Amino acid sequence: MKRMILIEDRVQRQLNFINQKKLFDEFPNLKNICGDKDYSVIKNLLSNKEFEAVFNEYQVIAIHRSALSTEERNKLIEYCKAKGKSLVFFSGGISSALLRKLNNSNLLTINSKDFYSENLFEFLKQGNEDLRLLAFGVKWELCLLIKLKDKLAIYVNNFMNDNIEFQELKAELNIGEWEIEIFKENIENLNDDTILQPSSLINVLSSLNKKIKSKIYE
Amino acid sequence: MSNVLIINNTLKVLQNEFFEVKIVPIFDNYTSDIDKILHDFILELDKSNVCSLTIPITLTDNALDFTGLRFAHHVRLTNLIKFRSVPMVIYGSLDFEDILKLTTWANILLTNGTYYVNISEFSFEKIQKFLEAEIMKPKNFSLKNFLERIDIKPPSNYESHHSVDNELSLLRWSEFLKCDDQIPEVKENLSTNLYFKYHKELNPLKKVEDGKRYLIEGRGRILLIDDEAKKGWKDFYSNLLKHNIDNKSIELDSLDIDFKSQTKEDIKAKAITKINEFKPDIVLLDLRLCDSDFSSSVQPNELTGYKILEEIKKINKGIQVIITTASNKAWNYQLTHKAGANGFIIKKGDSDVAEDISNIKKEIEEGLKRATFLKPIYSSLESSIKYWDSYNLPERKNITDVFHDKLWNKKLKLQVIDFLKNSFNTLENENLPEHFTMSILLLYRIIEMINEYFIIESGDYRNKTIQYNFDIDNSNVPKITNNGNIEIPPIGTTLSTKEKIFAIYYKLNGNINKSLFDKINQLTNYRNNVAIHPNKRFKEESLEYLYDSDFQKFNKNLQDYFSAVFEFINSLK
Repeated sequence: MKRMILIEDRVQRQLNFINQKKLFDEFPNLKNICGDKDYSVIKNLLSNKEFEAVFNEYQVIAIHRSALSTEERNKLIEYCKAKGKSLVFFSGGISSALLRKLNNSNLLTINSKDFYSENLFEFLKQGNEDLRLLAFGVKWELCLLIKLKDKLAIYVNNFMNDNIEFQELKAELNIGEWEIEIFKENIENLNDDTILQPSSLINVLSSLNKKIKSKIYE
Repeated sequence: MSNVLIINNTLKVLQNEFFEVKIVPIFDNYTSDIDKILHDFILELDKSNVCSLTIPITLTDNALDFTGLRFAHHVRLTNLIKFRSVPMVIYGSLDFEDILKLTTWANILLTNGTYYVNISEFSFEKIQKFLEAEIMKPKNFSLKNFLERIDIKPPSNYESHHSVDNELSLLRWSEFLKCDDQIPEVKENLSTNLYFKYHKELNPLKKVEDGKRYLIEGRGRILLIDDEAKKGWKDFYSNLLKHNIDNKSIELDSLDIDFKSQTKEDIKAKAITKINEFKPDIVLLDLRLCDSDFSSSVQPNELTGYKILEEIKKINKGIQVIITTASNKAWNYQLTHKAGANGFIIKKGDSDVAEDISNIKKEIEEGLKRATFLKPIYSSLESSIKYWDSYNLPERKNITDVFHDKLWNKKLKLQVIDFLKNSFNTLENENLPEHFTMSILLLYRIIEMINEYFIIESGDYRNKTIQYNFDIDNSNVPKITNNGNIEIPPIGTTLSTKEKIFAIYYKLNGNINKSLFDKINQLTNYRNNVAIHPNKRFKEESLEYLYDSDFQKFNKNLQDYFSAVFEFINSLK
């Protein structure tokens, strides 16, 4: 797994949420900077905008929102955008989890209590850097399925007047690699030149529906 | 007239004349909270004449954040806007029952005027046709029905760390005093946060005609110990007490430290230093002051505020501690009351604000009043106990009755301390009936006990053979009159309790203390004329009566009664 750094300015707050600090020790890829001297050193570096010195080796950065000033937060966002690092701001004042794109990475803002939850340990355990797991828990794959179904359903019911080449559909709906697999499961010998009829896409929708239901009710 | 179609950035844009397509600018602002973004967008949207809204289940590409449903809740719960009751179509590709299974946000789809359209089955053209018909009909939305159907939970850690009631009370009480402009952060949070919008609809604030500040009766120093003092509570109390602060009858201060970075022990130590320096009459004390206080496993008697309460009562039991709490747990009240808390200011988000403010006024007035008489008495009590404790009480030479023995002096030392403490405890215990007068009876018993120890009584007053001698040297006890004459009374002359006290004082000090004797006189008169006559305890001269009718006189008399005994004890040589 790519390494994650977690920066919390108040020891007791972390302990209040997770209770057993030693749980973090099971994850060697996690660097937990929680209060005390380590935090002071890091905070000093961050205040001087020396992000590279602190974050160079980490792909995921989680930091308590109030540990940084607004200006420092914005600078860190710019840094993560430029370096393609995923960023998590957690705080008690955040009302609901919100995941946003930062060029090739993501920014998650999340309430502290939701952050220090089972999802965090599942995220660390799976070693996947997709913040959706952190934000939405183990059902995060549903996001991808629903997103694809939404796009496809709107297209089929509102814009599809005729048959369409798969290549054209991919461009039209911005279909990614993972999503192509879903089409391949339902359409034999699919390639970019395959001409798709509305009925084929309805089959894909129906298949998506089954997958979604099985995920919801599993 | 605008039929607004909200899309998210993953959906193909629909172009037609009926819908005005909009994207919520979630991605423009990385640092704002989602509720703030949605609230601002809604206010912006209100500038156009919105007659219907068509909203995707999610406004982002994360289907499980249900931000579209959150947005729809904002529309219904933002009472500032013109379009809160327009028909709303929520669209998505999931089956209706699947959404209900996935999230409680979907409850909004069960409310009047909100419709779900599965876009796997219906086109936007069909949604358009539906809306064209719908906007011609009378509006179907009912706030009552809406509130009955939905359920919005507070942000996750508001349940403990940032109490909802705490913030709501701060805002509502500040609104009442018209000083809410001083808490912009709280105000913004409460006006934009969805949960607080919901809470406001469920518990509408009663319109207050006149939220003018009060003039608090009494004088004194008030110390606020609250980790959120800077967040607005200090401003609130400053405004509440403004008239008194201006006329210098009340001085308000707060424990100004960074609570978040301190340990429980640090906070306690700094609070003690502050109390010793500022010498407050009232401490407004929050119980949860540092991060460890918010742990679910923390016992109430381990809370930092509780520890400070114990320390305050060690410094001076007369300092009035008013617990400011948003807790609804009865054991918190019981436990802190047992530890000496004198009052409670309960922060509740749905209470009657005018009544709340009036109660705070009463708590503070009562606190100032009680501190006025309790604090000085406690200080003197402490020094008298110290003096008596170190006093080398001579051993009683003559054991003349079956009730006493050689250990009499040791027992008396303990008994006097016990009665001193009990007289104070009774004085401050407002739950005891007639507690002022009862405390005087206990106090009076101390001088009777000292009399019995120092003076040997022999003979019988009925056959006029009574006579009095000092135990120390068997010398005759003189009679000292009110005007200072000293004479050895003939055998058979009865000496009263106060005359014996005068004589002991004279014996030990070799002089007459007119001011002390006057006080002993007053105390004796009160004991004889009021205290021992239950039917007189509420008459004009009683402490119980004076407390409400003439507090100054009450305080003067009470201080005199107590200082009569304290001064007498301190004079023992």
